[in-house]
Amino acid sequence: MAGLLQYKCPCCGGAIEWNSTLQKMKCPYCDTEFDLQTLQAYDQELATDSPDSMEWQSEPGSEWTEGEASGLRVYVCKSCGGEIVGDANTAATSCPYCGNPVMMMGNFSGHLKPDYIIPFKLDKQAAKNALKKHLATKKLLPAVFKDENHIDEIKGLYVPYWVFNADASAKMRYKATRVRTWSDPQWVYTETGYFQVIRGGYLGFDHVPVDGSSKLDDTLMESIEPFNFQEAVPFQTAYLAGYLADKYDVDKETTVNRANERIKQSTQQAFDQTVQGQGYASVANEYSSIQLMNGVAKYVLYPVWLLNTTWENNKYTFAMNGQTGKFVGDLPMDKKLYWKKWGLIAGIAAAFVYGASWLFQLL
Amino acid sequence: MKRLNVRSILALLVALILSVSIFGAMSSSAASVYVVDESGSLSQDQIQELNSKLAEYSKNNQCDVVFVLKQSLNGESAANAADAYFDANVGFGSTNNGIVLLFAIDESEYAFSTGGYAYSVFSDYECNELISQVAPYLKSQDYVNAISTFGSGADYYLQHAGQQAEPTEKKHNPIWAPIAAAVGAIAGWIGTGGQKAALTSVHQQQGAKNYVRSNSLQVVDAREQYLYSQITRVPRQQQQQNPNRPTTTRPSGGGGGGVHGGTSGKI
Repeated sequence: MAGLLQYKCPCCGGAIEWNSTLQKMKCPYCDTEFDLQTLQAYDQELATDSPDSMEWQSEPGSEWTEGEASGLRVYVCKSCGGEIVGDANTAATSCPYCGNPVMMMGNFSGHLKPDYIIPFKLDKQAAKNALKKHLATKKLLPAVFKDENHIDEIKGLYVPYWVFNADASAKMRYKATRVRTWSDPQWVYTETGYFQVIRGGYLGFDHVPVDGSSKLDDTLMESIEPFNFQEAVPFQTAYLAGYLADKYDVDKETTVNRANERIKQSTQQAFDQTVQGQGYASVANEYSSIQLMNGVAKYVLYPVWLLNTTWENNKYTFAMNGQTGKFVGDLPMDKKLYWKKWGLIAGIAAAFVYGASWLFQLL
Repeated sequence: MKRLNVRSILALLVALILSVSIFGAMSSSAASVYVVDESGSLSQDQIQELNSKLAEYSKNNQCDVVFVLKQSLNGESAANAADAYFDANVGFGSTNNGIVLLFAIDESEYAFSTGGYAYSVFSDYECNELISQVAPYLKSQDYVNAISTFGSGADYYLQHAGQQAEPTEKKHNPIWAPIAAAVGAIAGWIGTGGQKAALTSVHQQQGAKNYVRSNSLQVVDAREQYLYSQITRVPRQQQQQNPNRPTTTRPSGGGGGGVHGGTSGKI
């Protein structure tokens, strides 16, 4: 069984949480605030604790098949003794019985320990407000969706990311043309000159993120970018208190392909721009070679608010960047309203054109 | 105050004089004689009668309608002679509206000279139609009927110039219905497209431009190598002709800076 970690308030013994507004730890019971440095020492102290002899071993139930049980992990809450069921990747959650935040230390030890973390800067209320704003500006959103909308679940989740630093060395070859025209009394001449254009150089990338969790939609996670790594701090388990967290289950060797793809695309664009606007009539890339140097990958946790809602048996997931507040999520469309608006605009435009054609004829 | 009033009165007077003179110039005719017989083929009574007819056509249409009958061109071209007469004697209003038909008996040559509004009314088609009606009388030396036919023909074309175009303009092309429907459909898609697109906010990132290290772009190799060139040539486009204008366009010899239209030929 993996070890659990809870931060206890030195004043009242209640489980304390990270407060994104104060950027401090705060006890929800007695409202006492604690500096992170204090808790860092506390965290280190906890790390030296000897294993608790009160740990429970969960016997595998005979009704579970091997395949079904393999993904489950059972933990015991240190506050109330309640049983917490999670999966192999659950790294921080809350006890379903007493609500206290707990961390599975085993999922953040050794090579699984994140290098950096960006703490939550925006709280749950900010996520709720962002959802309201997101829905308010959509004119084709079914009115019932807005009215009857109740969020099934809002969770603050530290999402595991791999971030890649690299220097890209590029060599590009383009075929470009320059066009010159002149004329005499009889003919108009056009001369098209063809050129080979070479560009070579370097471009640096810092902290290109790729989602390291297979449970989350990669496109959804890319949609809430960018994250500002300047605000990242060395990982401390204290930041996880009060939020959910997963450890990575997609390794860096797998995610590096997506990072390479993005780096290649941006390098290509950057060097293309050095050729465009140089007086060429046309430019076509013929060859490109990009070599990555000094590649370094880091394991980080980024803050994300996830909101789920259900409408007409369809599940809609929204995500908000817990650092910047960028909110995304696809919404359903009121088809009836769409065709009504389409018909109105099309009718007005058609009537205008037809009327103008008559007017034009009369003039 | 008194000075101001005097100035105002003076300004009003100048404006009045200018208005009157401009209006006068616009509505006045340069031609005083509408039938010119240099060959002596017509009697004074005939000239007087025909002159009053053409004068009436000219006044009604605000466009001088003039016939010049010459015995000989004396080596000059009919077109030049017609233009010269036009420049010296013809032109209604500020735009010098007028049409001259000159006929030389010895050479059997004719020429039209048109200017101002008549330039656009009498294209090659109208000139040819007109001469085809007048030519039989000219051939038989019946100049009275020739001039009378010319006058009534010119009057007809001047009066119907605007009306002829109307029936064709009023025809509404049915192609506009499907065009309007297509434009409406496209406008509908464009108008709702933005609102529809706003519902989708989950997109994959293109590239990693947000993570490019600032000032890290170093271009260490920037070369351009000439390969080859191709030269193509196309003939210069001919100036498109306006079908409503006469093909014959001659510069004015009168120093007015205008142009004359009209056909010429032999009967």
